[in-house]
Amino acid sequence: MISFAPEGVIQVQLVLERGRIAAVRLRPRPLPPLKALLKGRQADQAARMLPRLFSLCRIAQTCAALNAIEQALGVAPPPAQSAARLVLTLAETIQEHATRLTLDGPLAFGQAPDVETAKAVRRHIAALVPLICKNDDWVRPGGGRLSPRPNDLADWLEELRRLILSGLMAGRDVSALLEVKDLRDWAQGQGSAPARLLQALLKPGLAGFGASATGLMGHLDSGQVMARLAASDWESYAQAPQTAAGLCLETGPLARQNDHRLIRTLEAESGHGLAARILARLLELAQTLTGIALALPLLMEGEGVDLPVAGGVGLGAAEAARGRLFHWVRLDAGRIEEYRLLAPTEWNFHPEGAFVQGLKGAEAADAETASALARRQGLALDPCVGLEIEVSHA
Amino acid sequence: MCMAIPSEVISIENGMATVECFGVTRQASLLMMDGQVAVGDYVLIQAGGFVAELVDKQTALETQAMMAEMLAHQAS
Repeated sequence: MISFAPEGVIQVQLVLERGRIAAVRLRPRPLPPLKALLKGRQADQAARMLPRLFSLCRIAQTCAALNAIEQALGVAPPPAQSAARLVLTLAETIQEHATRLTLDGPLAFGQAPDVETAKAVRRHIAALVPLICKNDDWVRPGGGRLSPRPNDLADWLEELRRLILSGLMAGRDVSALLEVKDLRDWAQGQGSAPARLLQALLKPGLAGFGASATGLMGHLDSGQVMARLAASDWESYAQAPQTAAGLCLETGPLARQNDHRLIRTLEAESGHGLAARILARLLELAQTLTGIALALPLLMEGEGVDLPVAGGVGLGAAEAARGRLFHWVRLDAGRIEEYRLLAPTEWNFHPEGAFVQGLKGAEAADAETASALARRQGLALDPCVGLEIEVSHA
Repeated sequence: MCMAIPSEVISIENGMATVECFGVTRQASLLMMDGQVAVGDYVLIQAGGFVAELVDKQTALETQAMMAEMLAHQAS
Protein backbone atom coordinates (compact mmCIF):
# COMPACT_ATOMS: atom_id res chain seq x y z
CA MET A 1 0.00 0.00 0.00
CA ILE A 2 1.28 3.45 -0.86
CA SER A 3 0.49 6.19 1.58
CA PHE A 4 0.23 9.60 0.05
CA ALA A 5 -1.75 12.80 -0.23
CA PRO A 6 -1.90 13.75 -3.89
CA GLU A 7 -3.24 17.25 -3.21
CA GLY A 8 -0.19 17.94 -1.09
CA VAL A 9 -0.95 18.38 2.57
CA ILE A 10 0.70 21.23 4.43
CA GLN A 11 1.43 20.60 8.09
CA VAL A 12 0.57 23.54 10.30
CA GLN A 13 1.51 23.96 13.94
CA LEU A 14 -0.35 26.63 15.89
CA VAL A 15 0.81 27.77 19.31
CA LEU A 16 -1.83 29.32 21.58
CA GLU A 17 -0.90 31.78 24.29
CA ARG A 18 -3.26 33.95 26.36
CA GLY A 19 -6.17 33.47 24.00
CA ARG A 20 -4.25 34.26 20.85
CA ILE A 21 -2.38 32.39 18.13
CA ALA A 22 1.13 33.32 19.19
CA ALA A 23 3.05 31.33 16.60
CA VAL A 24 2.35 29.57 13.30
CA ARG A 25 4.83 27.05 11.95
CA LEU A 26 4.54 25.41 8.55
CA ARG A 27 6.26 22.42 7.13
CA PRO A 28 6.53 22.78 3.34
CA ARG A 29 5.04 20.08 1.16
CA PRO A 30 7.28 17.54 -0.53
CA LEU A 31 7.72 18.35 -4.21
CA PRO A 32 6.46 15.81 -6.73
CA PRO A 33 9.40 14.03 -8.38
CA LEU A 34 8.35 14.97 -11.89
CA LYS A 35 11.78 14.24 -13.32
CA ALA A 36 11.38 10.57 -12.38
CA LEU A 37 8.26 10.35 -14.48
CA LEU A 38 9.22 12.58 -17.39
CA LYS A 39 12.95 12.08 -17.96
CA GLY A 40 13.65 10.72 -21.44
CA ARG A 41 10.15 11.35 -22.73
CA GLN A 42 9.47 13.42 -25.84
CA ALA A 43 8.48 16.98 -24.94
CA ASP A 44 5.03 16.70 -26.53
CA GLN A 45 4.33 13.47 -24.66
CA ALA A 46 5.28 15.15 -21.38
CA ALA A 47 2.95 18.05 -22.17
CA ARG A 48 0.07 15.60 -22.49
CA MET A 49 0.92 13.71 -19.31
CA LEU A 50 1.14 16.68 -16.94
CA PRO A 51 -2.52 17.75 -17.09
CA ARG A 52 -3.51 14.21 -16.13
CA LEU A 53 -1.57 14.58 -12.89
CA PHE A 54 -2.45 18.20 -12.18
CA SER A 55 -6.09 17.80 -12.96
CA LEU A 56 -7.42 20.46 -10.58
CA CYS A 57 -6.09 23.32 -12.69
CA ARG A 58 -5.09 21.34 -15.71
CA ILE A 59 -5.41 24.13 -18.25
CA ALA A 60 -3.04 26.49 -16.46
CA GLN A 61 -0.62 23.63 -15.81
CA THR A 62 -0.73 22.66 -19.47
CA CYS A 63 -0.10 26.24 -20.61
CA ALA A 64 2.87 26.64 -18.27
CA ALA A 65 4.30 23.35 -19.57
CA LEU A 66 3.80 24.32 -23.23
CA ASN A 67 5.38 27.74 -22.64
CA ALA A 68 8.39 26.22 -20.91
CA ILE A 69 8.97 23.64 -23.62
CA GLU A 70 8.59 26.22 -26.39
CA GLN A 71 11.08 28.53 -24.73
CA ALA A 72 13.53 25.68 -24.35
CA LEU A 73 13.18 24.84 -28.04
CA GLY A 74 13.31 28.48 -29.12
CA VAL A 75 9.94 28.40 -30.89
CA ALA A 76 7.01 30.80 -30.62
CA PRO A 77 3.47 29.54 -31.19
CA PRO A 78 1.26 31.47 -33.67
CA PRO A 79 -0.87 34.21 -32.04
CA ALA A 80 -4.06 32.17 -32.46
CA GLN A 81 -2.55 29.39 -30.33
CA SER A 82 -1.65 31.86 -27.58
CA ALA A 83 -5.17 33.28 -27.77
CA ALA A 84 -6.68 29.80 -27.44
CA ARG A 85 -4.55 29.08 -24.38
CA LEU A 86 -5.53 32.39 -22.83
CA VAL A 87 -9.26 31.81 -23.40
CA LEU A 88 -9.05 28.32 -21.91
CA THR A 89 -7.05 29.50 -18.89
CA LEU A 90 -9.45 32.34 -18.19
CA ALA A 91 -12.42 30.00 -18.48
CA GLU A 92 -10.81 27.65 -15.98
CA THR A 93 -10.36 30.59 -13.62
CA ILE A 94 -14.07 31.40 -13.89
CA GLN A 95 -14.97 27.80 -13.14
CA GLU A 96 -12.75 27.71 -10.06
CA HIS A 97 -13.89 31.09 -8.72
CA ALA A 98 -17.55 30.22 -9.31
CA THR A 99 -17.12 27.01 -7.33
CA ARG A 100 -15.46 28.86 -4.46
CA LEU A 101 -18.13 31.56 -4.40
CA THR A 102 -21.16 29.28 -4.62
CA LEU A 103 -20.07 26.08 -2.94
CA ASP A 104 -17.15 25.83 -0.53
CA GLY A 105 -17.13 29.52 0.43
CA PRO A 106 -20.75 29.53 1.67
CA LEU A 107 -20.36 26.11 3.31
CA ALA A 108 -17.30 27.33 5.23
CA PHE A 109 -19.42 30.09 6.76
CA GLY A 110 -22.47 27.97 7.51
CA GLN A 111 -24.47 29.25 4.56
CA ALA A 112 -26.44 27.34 1.96
CA PRO A 113 -24.44 26.59 -1.19
CA ASP A 114 -25.84 27.34 -4.64
CA VAL A 115 -25.16 23.95 -6.17
CA GLU A 116 -27.21 24.60 -9.31
CA THR A 117 -25.14 27.65 -10.30
CA ALA A 118 -21.89 25.81 -9.54
CA LYS A 119 -23.00 22.94 -11.75
CA ALA A 120 -24.28 25.19 -14.53
CA VAL A 121 -20.99 27.09 -14.73
CA ARG A 122 -18.97 23.88 -14.70
CA ARG A 123 -21.10 22.33 -17.46
CA HIS A 124 -20.80 25.48 -19.53
CA ILE A 125 -17.02 25.71 -19.17
CA ALA A 126 -16.70 22.04 -20.10
CA ALA A 127 -18.39 22.83 -23.43
CA LEU A 128 -15.65 25.29 -24.47
CA VAL A 129 -12.82 23.10 -25.79
CA PRO A 130 -14.93 21.45 -28.54
CA LEU A 131 -15.76 24.95 -29.84
CA ILE A 132 -12.03 25.63 -30.32
CA CYS A 133 -10.55 22.33 -31.44
CA LYS A 134 -11.19 18.61 -31.70
CA ASN A 135 -10.28 16.45 -28.74
CA ASP A 136 -7.41 18.16 -26.93
CA ASP A 137 -5.53 19.11 -30.10
CA TRP A 138 -4.44 22.44 -28.58
CA VAL A 139 -2.18 20.53 -26.15
CA ARG A 140 0.96 20.48 -28.28
CA PRO A 141 4.18 22.48 -27.96
CA GLY A 142 4.28 24.90 -30.87
CA GLY A 143 0.50 24.76 -31.08
CA GLY A 144 -2.00 22.21 -32.37
CA ARG A 145 -4.77 22.14 -34.95
CA LEU A 146 -7.39 24.76 -34.11
CA SER A 147 -10.83 24.76 -35.70
CA PRO A 148 -12.72 27.50 -33.84
CA ARG A 149 -16.45 28.02 -34.40
CA PRO A 150 -16.86 31.82 -34.10
CA ASN A 151 -20.65 31.98 -33.93
CA ASP A 152 -20.88 29.22 -31.36
CA LEU A 153 -18.09 30.84 -29.35
CA ALA A 154 -19.95 34.17 -29.34
CA ASP A 155 -23.11 32.40 -28.11
CA TRP A 156 -21.06 30.53 -25.53
CA LEU A 157 -19.61 33.78 -24.20
CA GLU A 158 -23.03 35.42 -23.98
CA GLU A 159 -24.40 32.49 -22.03
CA LEU A 160 -21.39 32.60 -19.70
CA ARG A 161 -21.98 36.31 -19.17
CA ARG A 162 -25.62 35.60 -18.36
CA LEU A 163 -24.72 32.82 -15.91
CA ILE A 164 -22.30 35.08 -14.07
CA LEU A 165 -24.53 38.11 -14.06
CA SER A 166 -27.64 36.29 -12.92
CA GLY A 167 -26.24 33.35 -10.93
CA LEU A 168 -23.35 35.04 -9.14
CA MET A 169 -23.84 38.78 -9.33
CA ALA A 170 -27.60 38.90 -8.79
CA GLY A 171 -28.19 41.02 -11.88
CA ARG A 172 -25.61 43.72 -11.16
CA ASP A 173 -22.05 43.93 -12.49
CA VAL A 174 -20.28 44.17 -9.14
CA SER A 175 -17.03 45.24 -10.80
CA ALA A 176 -18.76 48.47 -11.90
CA LEU A 177 -19.54 49.50 -8.32
CA LEU A 178 -17.38 52.35 -7.09
CA GLU A 179 -17.97 52.54 -3.37
CA VAL A 180 -17.91 49.94 -0.60
CA LYS A 181 -21.26 51.35 0.51
CA ASP A 182 -22.71 50.26 -2.86
CA LEU A 183 -21.12 46.86 -2.40
CA ARG A 184 -22.73 46.54 1.04
CA ASP A 185 -26.11 47.50 -0.42
CA TRP A 186 -25.67 44.89 -3.15
CA ALA A 187 -24.66 42.24 -0.60
CA GLN A 188 -27.61 43.07 1.66
CA GLY A 189 -29.95 42.29 -1.20
CA GLN A 190 -28.80 38.66 -0.73
CA GLY A 191 -29.59 37.94 -4.35
CA SER A 192 -26.92 35.28 -4.84
CA ALA A 193 -24.64 33.00 -2.85
CA PRO A 194 -21.67 35.38 -3.28
CA ALA A 195 -23.83 38.29 -2.11
CA ARG A 196 -24.85 36.41 1.03
CA LEU A 197 -21.23 35.39 1.60
CA LEU A 198 -19.97 38.94 1.27
CA GLN A 199 -22.74 40.27 3.47
CA ALA A 200 -21.36 38.04 6.22
CA LEU A 201 -17.73 38.84 5.50
CA LEU A 202 -18.12 42.62 5.31
CA LYS A 203 -18.92 42.78 9.02
CA PRO A 204 -16.30 44.30 11.31
CA GLY A 205 -13.95 41.65 12.65
CA LEU A 206 -14.46 39.21 9.81
CA ALA A 207 -13.66 41.59 6.95
CA GLY A 208 -10.08 42.07 8.04
CA PHE A 209 -9.47 38.56 9.32
CA GLY A 210 -6.24 37.13 7.93
CA ALA A 211 -4.86 40.45 6.72
CA SER A 212 -1.13 40.96 6.74
CA ALA A 213 1.48 43.29 5.40
CA THR A 214 2.73 40.67 2.95
CA GLY A 215 3.30 42.28 -0.44
CA LEU A 216 1.13 41.34 -3.40
CA MET A 217 2.73 39.77 -6.43
CA GLY A 218 2.80 42.06 -9.42
CA HIS A 219 5.75 42.10 -11.75
CA LEU A 220 8.11 39.30 -10.82
CA ASP A 221 11.65 39.07 -12.15
CA SER A 222 11.37 35.93 -14.31
CA GLY A 223 15.16 35.92 -14.70
CA GLN A 224 15.48 35.43 -10.98
CA VAL A 225 12.82 32.68 -10.98
CA MET A 226 14.61 30.96 -13.85
CA ALA A 227 17.99 31.19 -12.14
CA ARG A 228 16.64 29.87 -8.84
CA LEU A 229 14.80 26.97 -10.47
CA ALA A 230 17.93 26.11 -12.47
CA ALA A 231 20.16 26.07 -9.40
CA SER A 232 21.26 22.90 -7.64
CA ASP A 233 19.38 23.96 -4.48
CA TRP A 234 16.18 24.64 -6.44
CA GLU A 235 14.06 22.49 -4.14
CA SER A 236 14.54 24.80 -1.17
CA TYR A 237 13.44 27.71 -3.40
CA ALA A 238 10.42 25.85 -4.84
CA GLN A 239 9.30 24.92 -1.33
CA ALA A 240 9.69 28.41 0.14
CA PRO A 241 10.08 31.03 -2.60
CA GLN A 242 11.00 34.65 -1.98
CA THR A 243 12.04 37.51 -4.19
CA ALA A 244 15.70 38.34 -4.77
CA ALA A 245 15.33 40.90 -1.98
CA GLY A 246 14.15 38.18 0.40
CA LEU A 247 10.49 39.21 0.42
CA CYS A 248 7.47 36.98 0.67
CA LEU A 249 4.61 37.72 -1.74
CA GLU A 250 0.95 36.80 -1.98
CA THR A 251 -0.18 35.58 -5.37
CA GLY A 252 -3.72 34.97 -6.61
CA PRO A 253 -6.94 36.91 -7.21
CA LEU A 254 -6.25 39.58 -4.60
CA ALA A 255 -2.83 40.36 -6.10
CA ARG A 256 -4.36 40.53 -9.60
CA GLN A 257 -7.33 42.70 -8.59
CA ASN A 258 -5.49 44.97 -6.19
CA ASP A 259 -5.90 48.00 -8.45
CA HIS A 260 -9.70 47.85 -8.33
CA ARG A 261 -11.16 50.75 -6.38
CA LEU A 262 -13.29 48.51 -4.16
CA ILE A 263 -10.26 46.48 -3.13
CA ARG A 264 -8.28 49.65 -2.43
CA THR A 265 -11.06 51.02 -0.27
CA LEU A 266 -11.53 47.74 1.58
CA GLU A 267 -7.79 47.63 2.19
CA ALA A 268 -7.95 51.08 3.75
CA GLU A 269 -10.88 49.99 5.95
CA SER A 270 -9.84 46.53 7.04
CA GLY A 271 -6.68 45.44 5.20
CA HIS A 272 -6.23 42.58 2.80
CA GLY A 273 -8.41 40.23 4.77
CA LEU A 274 -11.20 37.75 4.10
CA ALA A 275 -13.57 40.25 2.52
CA ALA A 276 -10.94 41.57 0.09
CA ARG A 277 -9.80 38.07 -0.89
CA ILE A 278 -13.34 36.84 -1.58
CA LEU A 279 -14.36 40.06 -3.32
CA ALA A 280 -11.30 39.80 -5.57
CA ARG A 281 -12.63 36.50 -6.93
CA LEU A 282 -15.98 38.08 -7.70
CA LEU A 283 -14.38 41.08 -9.41
CA GLU A 284 -12.12 38.80 -11.39
CA LEU A 285 -15.13 37.08 -12.93
CA ALA A 286 -16.02 40.30 -14.74
CA GLN A 287 -12.46 41.07 -15.75
CA THR A 288 -12.00 37.53 -17.01
CA LEU A 289 -15.13 37.76 -19.15
CA THR A 290 -13.64 40.86 -20.78
CA GLY A 291 -10.36 39.04 -21.35
CA ILE A 292 -12.15 36.18 -23.08
CA ALA A 293 -14.15 38.60 -25.23
CA LEU A 294 -10.95 40.33 -26.35
CA ALA A 295 -9.13 37.09 -27.12
CA LEU A 296 -11.89 35.26 -28.98
CA PRO A 297 -11.54 37.27 -32.25
CA LEU A 298 -7.86 36.22 -32.36
CA LEU A 299 -8.77 32.55 -32.67
CA MET A 300 -8.11 31.37 -36.22
CA GLU A 301 -8.24 28.05 -37.95
CA GLY A 302 -4.75 26.67 -38.37
CA GLU A 303 -1.87 24.57 -37.16
CA GLY A 304 1.04 25.18 -34.85
CA VAL A 305 4.68 25.39 -35.84
CA ASP A 306 7.08 22.49 -36.36
CA LEU A 307 9.36 21.69 -33.47
CA PRO A 308 13.11 21.32 -33.84
CA VAL A 309 14.78 18.32 -32.24
CA ALA A 310 16.88 20.48 -29.99
CA GLY A 311 18.00 21.08 -26.46
CA GLY A 312 17.70 24.06 -24.19
CA VAL A 313 16.26 25.44 -20.99
CA GLY A 314 12.88 27.12 -20.69
CA LEU A 315 10.62 28.76 -18.12
CA GLY A 316 6.87 28.85 -18.64
CA ALA A 317 4.41 30.86 -16.59
CA ALA A 318 0.62 30.84 -16.32
CA GLU A 319 -1.88 32.65 -14.13
CA ALA A 320 -3.87 29.85 -12.56
CA ALA A 321 -7.01 30.69 -10.58
CA ARG A 322 -4.96 30.32 -7.40
CA GLY A 323 -2.00 32.38 -8.55
CA ARG A 324 1.11 32.42 -10.66
CA LEU A 325 2.53 29.11 -11.70
CA PHE A 326 5.95 28.34 -13.20
CA HIS A 327 7.29 25.29 -14.98
CA TRP A 328 10.99 24.93 -15.74
CA VAL A 329 12.39 22.37 -18.16
CA ARG A 330 15.71 21.30 -19.59
CA LEU A 331 15.53 19.41 -22.87
CA ASP A 332 18.16 17.34 -24.62
CA ALA A 333 17.52 16.41 -28.26
CA GLY A 334 13.79 17.10 -27.80
CA ARG A 335 13.49 14.90 -24.73
CA ILE A 336 12.99 15.85 -21.09
CA GLU A 337 16.22 15.92 -19.13
CA GLU A 338 14.94 17.78 -16.06
CA TYR A 339 11.53 19.13 -15.00
CA ARG A 340 10.78 21.48 -12.10
CA LEU A 341 7.73 23.32 -10.89
CA LEU A 342 6.98 26.33 -8.69
CA ALA A 343 3.33 26.41 -7.60
CA PRO A 344 1.45 29.47 -6.29
CA THR A 345 0.75 27.62 -3.06
CA GLU A 346 4.38 27.85 -1.97
CA TRP A 347 4.32 31.66 -2.13
CA ASN A 348 1.13 31.95 -0.11
CA PHE A 349 2.11 29.24 2.38
CA HIS A 350 5.71 30.33 2.81
CA PRO A 351 6.77 29.88 6.48
CA GLU A 352 6.82 33.69 6.73
CA GLY A 353 4.19 34.43 4.10
CA ALA A 354 0.58 35.58 3.92
CA PHE A 355 -1.01 32.53 5.55
CA VAL A 356 1.29 32.68 8.56
CA GLN A 357 1.36 36.45 8.98
CA GLY A 358 -2.40 36.71 8.70
CA LEU A 359 -2.99 34.15 11.45
CA LYS A 360 -0.44 35.38 13.95
CA GLY A 361 -2.06 37.28 16.77
CA ALA A 362 -5.61 36.16 15.92
CA GLU A 363 -7.86 35.67 18.93
CA ALA A 364 -8.55 32.00 19.60
CA ALA A 365 -9.81 30.84 22.96
CA ASP A 366 -9.16 27.16 22.32
CA ALA A 367 -7.65 24.65 19.91
CA GLU A 368 -10.89 24.11 18.03
CA THR A 369 -11.28 27.81 17.32
CA ALA A 370 -7.65 28.13 16.28
CA SER A 371 -7.99 25.21 13.84
CA ALA A 372 -11.15 26.69 12.36
CA LEU A 373 -9.42 30.03 11.84
CA ALA A 374 -6.49 28.35 10.12
CA ARG A 375 -8.84 26.47 7.78
CA ARG A 376 -10.65 29.72 7.00
CA GLN A 377 -7.37 31.41 6.18
CA GLY A 378 -6.35 28.46 4.03
CA LEU A 379 -9.62 28.54 2.10
CA ALA A 380 -9.25 32.25 1.41
CA LEU A 381 -5.72 31.82 0.07
CA ASP A 382 -5.75 28.45 -1.65
CA PRO A 383 -8.76 26.17 -1.47
CA CYS A 384 -6.94 23.29 -3.17
CA VAL A 385 -4.53 22.72 -0.32
CA GLY A 386 -5.18 20.30 2.51
CA LEU A 387 -4.04 21.39 5.94
CA GLU A 388 -3.02 19.10 8.78
CA ILE A 389 -3.33 21.28 11.84
CA GLU A 390 -1.82 20.66 15.25
CA VAL A 391 -2.45 23.05 18.14
CA SER A 392 -0.29 23.35 21.25
CA HIS A 393 -0.22 25.73 24.19
CA ALA A 394 2.78 27.87 25.03
CA MET B 1 0.52 20.71 -5.63
CA CYS B 2 -3.05 20.62 -6.98
CA MET B 3 -2.65 17.03 -8.03
CA ALA B 4 -5.75 14.89 -8.11
CA ILE B 5 -5.54 11.21 -8.81
CA PRO B 6 -8.67 9.38 -9.99
CA SER B 7 -10.17 7.30 -7.20
CA GLU B 8 -12.54 4.35 -7.45
CA VAL B 9 -15.96 4.63 -5.88
CA ILE B 10 -16.40 1.67 -3.53
CA SER B 11 -19.70 2.66 -1.91
CA ILE B 12 -22.37 5.35 -1.99
CA GLU B 13 -24.60 6.34 0.88
CA ASN B 14 -26.71 9.44 1.55
CA GLY B 15 -25.09 11.51 -1.21
CA MET B 16 -21.59 10.64 -0.09
CA ALA B 17 -19.19 8.40 -1.93
CA THR B 18 -16.45 6.40 -0.29
CA VAL B 19 -13.56 6.31 -2.73
CA GLU B 20 -10.28 4.42 -2.76
CA CYS B 21 -6.93 5.14 -4.29
CA PHE B 22 -3.67 3.29 -3.53
CA GLY B 23 -5.32 1.65 -0.54
CA VAL B 24 -6.37 4.95 1.02
CA THR B 25 -10.11 5.52 1.42
CA ARG B 26 -11.86 8.81 1.93
CA GLN B 27 -15.28 10.34 1.62
CA ALA B 28 -16.47 12.86 -0.93
CA SER B 29 -19.77 14.61 -1.56
CA LEU B 30 -21.77 13.80 -4.69
CA LEU B 31 -23.61 17.13 -4.53
CA MET B 32 -22.21 18.23 -7.90
CA MET B 33 -22.83 15.02 -9.81
CA ASP B 34 -26.61 14.68 -10.43
CA GLY B 35 -26.69 10.97 -9.64
CA GLN B 36 -24.28 10.12 -12.47
CA VAL B 37 -21.87 8.23 -10.23
CA ALA B 38 -22.07 4.49 -9.50
CA VAL B 39 -19.96 2.06 -7.51
CA GLY B 40 -16.96 1.05 -9.62
CA ASP B 41 -16.68 4.41 -11.36
CA TYR B 42 -13.50 6.47 -11.19
CA VAL B 43 -13.82 10.09 -10.10
CA LEU B 44 -11.78 13.19 -9.42
CA ILE B 45 -12.28 14.94 -6.10
CA GLN B 46 -12.13 18.69 -6.01
CA ALA B 47 -11.04 21.06 -3.30
CA GLY B 48 -13.61 21.00 -0.52
CA GLY B 49 -14.19 17.26 -0.88
CA PHE B 50 -16.62 17.27 -3.81
CA VAL B 51 -16.63 14.73 -6.59
CA ALA B 52 -16.13 16.97 -9.59
CA GLU B 53 -15.68 14.69 -12.56
CA LEU B 54 -16.06 11.14 -13.83
CA VAL B 55 -12.94 9.65 -15.42
CA ASP B 56 -13.00 6.66 -17.76
CA LYS B 57 -11.41 3.56 -16.28
CA GLN B 58 -8.50 3.36 -18.72
CA THR B 59 -7.50 6.98 -18.18
CA ALA B 60 -7.86 6.54 -14.42
CA LEU B 61 -5.63 3.47 -14.32
CA GLU B 62 -3.01 5.11 -16.55
CA THR B 63 -2.95 8.16 -14.31
CA GLN B 64 -2.65 6.02 -11.20
CA ALA B 65 0.26 4.19 -12.84
CA MET B 66 2.00 7.52 -13.51
CA MET B 67 1.55 8.54 -9.90
CA ALA B 68 2.74 5.16 -8.65
CA GLU B 69 5.90 5.54 -10.74
CA MET B 70 6.62 8.92 -9.16
CA LEU B 71 5.90 7.71 -5.66
CA ALA B 72 8.06 4.62 -6.09
CA HIS B 73 10.91 6.92 -7.06
CA GLN B 74 10.21 9.17 -4.10
CA ALA B 75 10.31 6.20 -1.73
CA SER B 76 13.56 4.77 -3.15
